Amino acid sequence: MFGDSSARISSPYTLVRHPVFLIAVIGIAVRLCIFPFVEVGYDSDFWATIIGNIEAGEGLYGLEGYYYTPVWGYILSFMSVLQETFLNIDVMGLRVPAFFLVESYPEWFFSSTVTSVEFNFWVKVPLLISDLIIGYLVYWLIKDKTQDMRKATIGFGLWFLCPLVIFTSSISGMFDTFSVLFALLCIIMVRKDRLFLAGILFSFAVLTKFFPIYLAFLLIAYIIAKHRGGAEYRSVAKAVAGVLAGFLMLMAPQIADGTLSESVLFITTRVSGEGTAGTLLDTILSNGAAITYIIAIFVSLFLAWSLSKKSGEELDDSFFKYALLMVAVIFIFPPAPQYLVLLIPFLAIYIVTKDPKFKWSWALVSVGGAVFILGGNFVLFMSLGTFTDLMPQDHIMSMIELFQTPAFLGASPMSWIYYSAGAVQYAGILLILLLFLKAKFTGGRGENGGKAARLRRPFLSFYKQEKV
Amino acid sequence: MKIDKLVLLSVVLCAAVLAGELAAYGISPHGYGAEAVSDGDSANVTVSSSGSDTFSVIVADNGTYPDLARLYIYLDERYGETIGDAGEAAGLRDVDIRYAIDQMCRSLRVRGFGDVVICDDERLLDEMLADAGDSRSKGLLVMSYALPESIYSGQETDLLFKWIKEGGRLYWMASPIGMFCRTGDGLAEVENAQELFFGRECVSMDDSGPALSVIDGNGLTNALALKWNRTLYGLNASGIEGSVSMGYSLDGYSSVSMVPFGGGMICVFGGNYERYLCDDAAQVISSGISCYSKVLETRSGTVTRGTAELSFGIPEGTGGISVYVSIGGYYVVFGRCMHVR
Repeated sequence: MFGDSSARISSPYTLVRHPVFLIAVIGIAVRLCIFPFVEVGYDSDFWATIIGNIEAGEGLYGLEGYYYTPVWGYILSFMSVLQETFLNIDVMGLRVPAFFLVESYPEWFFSSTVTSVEFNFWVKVPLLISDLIIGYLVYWLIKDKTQDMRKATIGFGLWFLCPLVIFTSSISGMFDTFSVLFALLCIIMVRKDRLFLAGILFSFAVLTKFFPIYLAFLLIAYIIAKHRGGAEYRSVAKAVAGVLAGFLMLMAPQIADGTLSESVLFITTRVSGEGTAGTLLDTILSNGAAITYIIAIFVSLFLAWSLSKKSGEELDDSFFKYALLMVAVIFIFPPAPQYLVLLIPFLAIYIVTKDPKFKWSWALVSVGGAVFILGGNFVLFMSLGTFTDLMPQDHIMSMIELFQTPAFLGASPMSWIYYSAGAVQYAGILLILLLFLKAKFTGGRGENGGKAARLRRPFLSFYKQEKV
Repeated sequence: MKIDKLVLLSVVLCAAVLAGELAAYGISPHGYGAEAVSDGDSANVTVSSSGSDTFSVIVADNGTYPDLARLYIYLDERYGETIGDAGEAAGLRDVDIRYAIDQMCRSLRVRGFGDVVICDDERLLDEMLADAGDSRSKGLLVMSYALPESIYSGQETDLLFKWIKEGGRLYWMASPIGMFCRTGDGLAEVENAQELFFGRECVSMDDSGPALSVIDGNGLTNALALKWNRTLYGLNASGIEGSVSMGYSLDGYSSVSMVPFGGGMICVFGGNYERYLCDDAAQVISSGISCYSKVLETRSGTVTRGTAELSFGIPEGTGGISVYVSIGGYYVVFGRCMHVR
């Protein structure tokens, strides 16, 4: 039924016969099945709260409930208009006394406010759309770089069927996918020389979740290198003007009403340390995020300097290599799994265009992150127990308690899942850095393939049909 | 001219985000309303919404106790100076008190209660003295942990008690009621505070997690969509004549309790300050419900892009009738208290 992945997609008919279509259908179907019934109640309660606050006329930061930069809030606002106009979601969520006990576990952020299945479904639809568009952008970028439809198809699959990406959008209901979406569009616009628009998109990406800010120096270096010979400063100025325009467009309400500090709370709390303590180790642990992010600035400057010396094909290849390295560096401070979604497109592109060995990083990050999300265990089924007859509430509560009961070495099964899954996803991040280091000290394998790589390529499954 | 499809896609996505921004801060498409009129033996209520929303209506007979017209919120400008001592003595959590008061004002405004006066020591004293003789339509909300000694010093003759006895409503949250007063020397602990307010020891000092039982006797917990399930600093009002409890309970203590005091009322909310507590307090205050209120009927329903009409019978011999409508269920987007008689 499905044709060759290297075939061109030129019409709806060829699209539905292409493996990309099958991947898309599977990815969409899996997400749609999960959307209504499985959710992280703590976060989805906040999404409902934000919509309620907006509908009450309090904007994003008037009443408490929104702690991020504004883009996701605006997307929720847009969704609330659609819901209000076309849908009948009269109950966004309920306080469920049968689950009150989950709020007594002090070490976890559990809420017994349970959002309805209708709400869960519709609030996640934008995330699906974003995932799908990102898949297309990964496909487009790989195709643009390699002219190889097969590689592009694999790249699409590595993103759209990535368990971490699926669970982040469909279980966690987290919006990191939008940050990735705007960041990729920004990169594409830089490649297309649409620099003002690229700047706007950069602001949108950073004001969704701030991590793409670490791509700023790389993007500037890319623009300078690409326009070397007189137009570099004008080009950078165009992009910076776009950044400022995007920032002002998005932050105008907060600037006007004086809630700018509330709107950057996510950034300030993530970057600031919890406090200083006596020993050097304590200081490092309590200020780990701040230290990592400061080091990352120097790394990004160094990579940008290095990138600015490249040209032509090498410039483009190096950009994606350095972007992958950069994103891996900022996650040296152990991240929440949803943050790692930013890593996946760069991994996918690098795996299929340069070095298939990175598939092990992809696997570790994907599986580790996905299992981490599933570590929420039966807490994730509270909507199912409250708004359907598919699982009794007392059964869910007893299973939650079971996962909280200390089992092995005094830790509960839930703790074990979190710690082990966290270790696996972290191993995936470290492996990226190790592979780059190994390539650096074994003759540049990766960027140009290296002699050893070229010799081994025919044995790698990704390139079975590739002409070397 | 051929338009680049990825440029078009970028523009469309940015436009969608900006449309959301416009809806949040500019031209709001969201609109809600409620009206109540009486035609003798019934109250006719209309509830309207631009979307699809659940709503609840509480019809209450408040007898001769007047409606709450003005609320004072006490701003303790020395909150930060002594929170450490108070926290150590009573397990209080430090909050940004100005932010908390701002949140309360906003929550009340959403529910249609706008006559709020934020008072420092001096202003509060002036207002309470000016109310002398009739504080029956006034309320005082304390969100911090100590009142100035000019108002409360732990004596039965204090202005605070006089003001409540003359009809005022004292709402107290996020600390043990009356445990501290503020003197010229700093913070002082009042030894017999609970006896002064309630005639016995009945305030919970036990932070043992969420209250698991729903208090559903009068239907107010559901009708007001109360959320905050903590009883720390809450009351065990059982046995106090005329008391009303709602919310959630643990070991006899309730998350919300109202008790009569002279001609006025004391309402205590359990738990440390959280956004849920702020919501609950705003609901209770805006609803106008007091311990003198008799709930005649509660009803809930759904209104979808239009108006819902409801009619409630009013028995003969009732006093002042209030109708409180809240829209949005546990995510309140609109509230309005109306007086039909």
